[in-house]
Amino acid sequence: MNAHIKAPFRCTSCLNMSTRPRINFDATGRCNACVWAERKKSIDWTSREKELVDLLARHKRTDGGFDCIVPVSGGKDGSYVAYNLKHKYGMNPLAVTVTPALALELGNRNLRSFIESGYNHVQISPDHNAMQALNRSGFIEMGFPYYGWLIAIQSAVVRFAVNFGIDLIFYGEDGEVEYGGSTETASRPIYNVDYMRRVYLEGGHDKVLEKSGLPESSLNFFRFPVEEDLQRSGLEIAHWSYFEAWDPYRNYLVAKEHCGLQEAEGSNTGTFTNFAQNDQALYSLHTYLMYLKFGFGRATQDAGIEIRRGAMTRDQALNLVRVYDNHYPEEFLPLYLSYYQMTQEEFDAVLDRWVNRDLFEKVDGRWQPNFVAE
Amino acid sequence: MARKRVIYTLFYADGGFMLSRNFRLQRAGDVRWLLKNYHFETVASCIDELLIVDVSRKGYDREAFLAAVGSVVEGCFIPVALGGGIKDFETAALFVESGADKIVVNSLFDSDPAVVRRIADVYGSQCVIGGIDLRRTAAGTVEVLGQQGSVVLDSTPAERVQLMLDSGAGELLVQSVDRDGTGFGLDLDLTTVVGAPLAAPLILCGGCGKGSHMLEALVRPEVDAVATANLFNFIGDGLLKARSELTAGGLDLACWNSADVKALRNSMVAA
Amino acid sequence: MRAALVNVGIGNIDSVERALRYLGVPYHTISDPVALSAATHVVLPGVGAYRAGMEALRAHGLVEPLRELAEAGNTRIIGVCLGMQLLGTYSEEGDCEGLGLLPFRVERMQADPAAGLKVPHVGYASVQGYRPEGLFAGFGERADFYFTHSYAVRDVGAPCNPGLCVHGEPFVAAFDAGSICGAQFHPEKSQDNGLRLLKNFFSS
Repeated sequence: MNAHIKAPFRCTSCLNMSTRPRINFDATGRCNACVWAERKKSIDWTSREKELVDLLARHKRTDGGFDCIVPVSGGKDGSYVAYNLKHKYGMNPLAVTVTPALALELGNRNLRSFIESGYNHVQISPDHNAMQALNRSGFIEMGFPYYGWLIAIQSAVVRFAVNFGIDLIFYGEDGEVEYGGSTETASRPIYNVDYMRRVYLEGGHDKVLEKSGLPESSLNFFRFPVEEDLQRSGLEIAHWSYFEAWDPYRNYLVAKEHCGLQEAEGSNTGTFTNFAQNDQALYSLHTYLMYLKFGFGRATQDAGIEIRRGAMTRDQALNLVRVYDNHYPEEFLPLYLSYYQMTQEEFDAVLDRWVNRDLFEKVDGRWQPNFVAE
Repeated sequence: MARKRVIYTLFYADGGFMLSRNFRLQRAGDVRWLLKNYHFETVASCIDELLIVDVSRKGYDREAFLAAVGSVVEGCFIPVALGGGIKDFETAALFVESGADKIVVNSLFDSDPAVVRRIADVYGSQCVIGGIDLRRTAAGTVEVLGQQGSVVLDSTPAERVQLMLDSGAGELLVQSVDRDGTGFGLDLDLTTVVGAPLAAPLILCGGCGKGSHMLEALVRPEVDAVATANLFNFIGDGLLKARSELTAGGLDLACWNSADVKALRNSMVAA
Repeated sequence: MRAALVNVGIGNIDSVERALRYLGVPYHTISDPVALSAATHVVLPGVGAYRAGMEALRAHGLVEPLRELAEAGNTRIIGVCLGMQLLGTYSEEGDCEGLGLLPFRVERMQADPAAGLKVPHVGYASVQGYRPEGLFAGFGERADFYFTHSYAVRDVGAPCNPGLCVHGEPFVAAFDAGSICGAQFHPEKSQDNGLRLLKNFFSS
C-alpha cells in the first residue's frame, strides 16, 4: 500500500468512511453528514418553509391540473414528500415511478398501497432491453449495477415533466448533503440537470449511452431533454430536504401511517433495518459493491442515520456494522446471474475488478475485509 | 432496599427472535443467531433480569418456545420472566414449572382476572408481572390498548393499574406503544399517568435505544426498573457499555463478575 | 456427600438444579422421607404461598422426618426462599404454622409508596453484618443477592451469624446456625454471589 496514502478512517461521530467519494471531515474528525445534522438543529426552518411556500405559489394550479411531480418508488421518502405536498400544502402532485429492473414483491405492494391511499400516478418503464444493457455495462464498467435505472430515475422524470408541461419536480433528499458527500446544494433550493449529470451520474452518462450502441429509439427515456427545451419549460428541480429538516425515520412513520407502507418480515440484506429500500433486488448488489469499493456497506449507512437521530451510540453501531456490513448478496445471486446473462465466474470477475485490494483479500472465493470496523 | 434494575427483553415468534417497532415485528434471526450475537453467559452479568415473551402470531408452540428459552438461559443465574398469551392457569403453571421465576400477563386481566388471582395465590404475587400497553392520542389523552395493541380498552390507565394490582399483580410493566422500537427514549411521563408512586414496583419500557435513555428513567424515584427489547442496538458489548454508563451516571446497580461465575463451574466436582 | 433436593411441587426447582449441576454437586431430588435419612445435605427450596408449602410437605410425609433430622443435628439443611420461611414456627401469610425447626416468625412487610418502599421487595439488595465464615466464607463486607418476597423474618431467635438486609426495616436475608441454614433470597438467581454461597453450604 502506498505509504503516502493515509489509512482509511471513520467519522468520530457516525461511522462514515474516509473512502466515501466527496466526503470531508472537520477538525474534530466529524464527517460533513454529521456536521450538517448538527447544523440542521439551528437552521431557520421557518424561513426555509417560507421559500417553499413561495416556490409552490409560483406553480400551484387551481384548475385541477398537476402542478408538481414527485418521483416515488412506493417507499418511505417519496411517499412522505407526496403526502406533504398534497395534504399540508394543497398542491396537486403527480407521482411518477420509473420501473426498476428487478422489482421486489414487497416494493410492488407498497407502491400499490401508496397509490391507493390517494395519488395520481404514472409508471414509466423505459425500454427493458436498453435498461438491462445499461445496467449491465454500468455494473461492469463502473461498478454501478443499476446505472441504467439511476440515469432513468432522473432523465425519464425530467423528460416526462417537460413533455407533460409540469415544471416543478421534488426529489426527496440530496444524498450527498445528508449522508456525506458534496455539499453544493446544501444552501441552494433549486438545482439542475447539469448537477444531476455531474454528481449523481458521476459524469459518465453520455459516454455510457454512446458506448452502448443502442438505437436512439430505445434510449429516449435515458436522455435528458435538450437545453433549449429545458430553458423553455422553466423546469425547476428541488430537494425537499432543503425546505424541511430531512428525517428518514420520521418519513417512515408517516408513510406507515398514511400511505400503507409495510416492512419486510426480516432484516434486509446487509443491514439491521427492514423498512427502507424494499423496492428492488439490485439495491443489495449496489450496496455490496459500495462495500467492496470503499469498505462500508448498508449497515454503516443505516447506522449513521440511527446515530444522527439519537437512537443509538457510535459504539452500539460498531457492533452492528461488524455483524452486518459484510454481506455477499447470496440470496439474489441466481436472479442477478440470469438478469445479467452471466456465469458465476463472470459475475465474480466484475466484483474482482472493483474491489479495493488494500482493504480486502480473497478467502475461499469471497472477498473478506482485512480490517475491523472501529 | 432493592437496587434499580435493567431488564432485557426478548421477543420470540414462530422460531425466531424479533425486533418490535410499534408492535410490528421484524425477524432478526433464530436461536443460533441470538446466541452468536448475544453471549448470554457474559451478558447476564450486565443485566439484572431477562424477560422472554412468546409473541407468535401463527399459533403458540409452547414446547418450541420453552426449548428456545432453555438454550438462552443455559449458564445464566439471573431471574427469568416468561410471558406471551397466557390465557389460563395451566399455561402459567407450565411456564413456572419450566423455570420461569415470574410470568407476565396482560390480556388475562380482561378475559379472566380470577385466573390471575389464582396464579398469585398459588405462586405468590411476586411471581406475577402485570403488563399494560399505553398509547398517546393526538387529543392528548392516553389510551390503554389490548390484544397486542389492536383494540382500545374502556378503562383509564389508572383504573387498569388498580384492576391489575387488585387481581394480584406484584409488579407493573408499563409499555409505551408509540415509542416501542423507535429509539426515541422512554416515555417518562407515563409513570404519572398510571398513578405513581405505587405500592408495587414499576418497570418502564418502550423506546429505549441506548444507555442514556435508561439513565434518564432510572434516576427518577418512581421508576424501579427499565426494560428494553431492542435486539439490534444492544448487540455485542452494547449491554456491558450501557451498564457502565449507568454506574458512571451515579446509579448504584448490582455488580456481578461473570469471570467469577465461570470460575465456580464444576468447583464442587469431587477430585 | 449425599445431597438431597426436596421436590414436592412448591415452585419449580429447575433453576436450583441448574445451579447444583453447574457447581458439580451430585444430588438426588426427593419427595418422600425414605431417601431423606441418608442425605448429608438437604436443600428445601420453595416459591409460593406458605400454607400451600406446608400442605405439600405434609402430603409427602416430610414434616416429622424433617423435624427429626434437624433434632439429630447430623445433616445440614438449608431452606431457600419460602423454604427458609417454612423452617420457622409461624407465618402471618395464611396464619399458618411452620416446621418449627427454629423459633422464628414470618411477618408481612409494610409498603410505603411515598417513601419508595414497595412490596413485594423485588430486585438485588445488599446483605451485610455476617462474619465471613461458614455460609458466608469468602464474602466481603456486603454482597448483593436477588430478593423477591412480601414476607420476612426479623430475628431467627438463635445464634446463627445472620446476614441482614434492609427494606424499610432490617430483616434476615440469610443465616448459618450450623446444621440449619436459610436464605431468603434466591442464590440460584444471584450470579456469582449465589453460586458461592451454595458452594459454601455444600463444603461443610
